[in-house]
Amino acid sequence: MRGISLSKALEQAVKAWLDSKQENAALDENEANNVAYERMKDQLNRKYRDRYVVFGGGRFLGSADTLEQAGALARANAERRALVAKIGAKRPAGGEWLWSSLEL
Amino acid sequence: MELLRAVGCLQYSGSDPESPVLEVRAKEPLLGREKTLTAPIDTGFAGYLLVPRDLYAELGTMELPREDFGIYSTMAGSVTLRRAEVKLSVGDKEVDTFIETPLYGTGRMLLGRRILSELDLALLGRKRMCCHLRQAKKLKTT
Repeated sequence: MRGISLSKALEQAVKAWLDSKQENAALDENEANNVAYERMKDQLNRKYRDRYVVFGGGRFLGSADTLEQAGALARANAERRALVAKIGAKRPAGGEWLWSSLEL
Repeated sequence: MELLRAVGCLQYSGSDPESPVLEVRAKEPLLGREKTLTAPIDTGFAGYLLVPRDLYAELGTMELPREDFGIYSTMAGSVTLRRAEVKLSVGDKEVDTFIETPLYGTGRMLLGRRILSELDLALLGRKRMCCHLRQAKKLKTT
């Protein structure tokens, strides 16, 4: 194998499994937040222009003036992750990635 | 042109030839967790602070909606990066910006042009040092 003991290999396998389980749970929650956000988008654009809107656990938690307040809002709802969007803010879509560091 | 002074220099690091790097402190806005990171600067990357997936899991607590993820065009096709809000301290600057990580794949650490364009930096290639630039006091002329 890779010169590691069976117990070490087992430990690494369990860690990888736990990591993937946590990641899957986070992805599920992220998906639920995105669905809730998409569903409310028209209403958000009308009512919360220039404000941060926060989603957690697949539901709308509220809006805030600043990012710090948005974080506090998620924390107050016992969320450890949240979706946040500043309504009406122009986000750069991406851009060019030259050949320099592509090793994904 | 104004007179500038190089301060807060950091030695290049990584494999030969070494890369210029900067120390950044990233703070996620939900739980307030902070990490100090040494990130290679990459003028070829148009994005923000690219981080490996495991670090993103820790710091990317306030993620943007999918529609605001960055899509970057590369010679190998387009690459989508997840994006999350973060407060970044670089030198004496503090900026509200984003960390990114690939939607697929493990990612790596890179400081892209969206952040670099906010900074005044000097690369002292022969000394292998990356430095911040500050305005120097005017020289007295007699």
